[in-house]
Amino acid sequence: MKIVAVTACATGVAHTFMAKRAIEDAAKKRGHEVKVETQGATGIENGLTRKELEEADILILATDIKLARTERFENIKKVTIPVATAIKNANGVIKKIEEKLA
Amino acid sequence: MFKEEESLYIYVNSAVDTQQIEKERLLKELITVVSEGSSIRFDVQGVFSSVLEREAVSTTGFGEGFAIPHGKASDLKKPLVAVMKLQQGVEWESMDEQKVNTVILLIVPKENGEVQHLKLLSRLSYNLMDEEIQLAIKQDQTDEALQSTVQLMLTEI
Repeated sequence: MKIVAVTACATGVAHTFMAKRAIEDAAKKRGHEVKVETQGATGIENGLTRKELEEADILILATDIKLARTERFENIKKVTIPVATAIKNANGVIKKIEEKLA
Repeated sequence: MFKEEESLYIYVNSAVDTQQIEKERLLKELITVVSEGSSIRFDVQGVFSSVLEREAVSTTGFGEGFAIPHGKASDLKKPLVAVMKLQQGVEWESMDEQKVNTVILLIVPKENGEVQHLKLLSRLSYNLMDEEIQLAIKQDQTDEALQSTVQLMLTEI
């Protein structure tokens, strides 16, 4: 699968990047392509392009706050989870997505 | 062990000699340890207040026995990353409820330090999610070994 994700936490730094790493590692371990955008205190980094969003099978929004530029995400299959869930159990989240999309 | 690099200072201590098991007292002691163990001067009390202020917002417990407290110093030229392994675990209200055995203290310059601070904290949080890095830190018995693991933790995202 092609997985794209956006992470954003309330204080905007540590958890945003912990979630990014957790999603990347879990996705790669399960054999998927992955790109994770962060919306943190330093703004949008590693931003998802229109092409990447079009080609993605699923968009994971791991966020505790209101995201920016959500108009990009309108016509994509997506799942929204709390940041803590991504950090603690990214593997379980991706496994569930695999089952749903199979 | 203290080292000055182009963009930051690094202090590592693979076995900090502290008996404090209460978070605030421990932080005060660790900041003093860093100040004494490095060749740079900064305002210990100011850093302590700034670190406590941040702790009051939300816990800096990372999980897996790590914590990343951070604060600002008005008299610092570049950021200082201090990694210290404790003799005994300390309660830190971490997400996974584990006690903290390794403290990664980040002190950044007060003036114009905001972006640097955020970048450094992002990088540390990202790299510390790597289980191999976590394991390496737990196994490092000497300052030299810990120092080389810390270099890995500072790799750009």
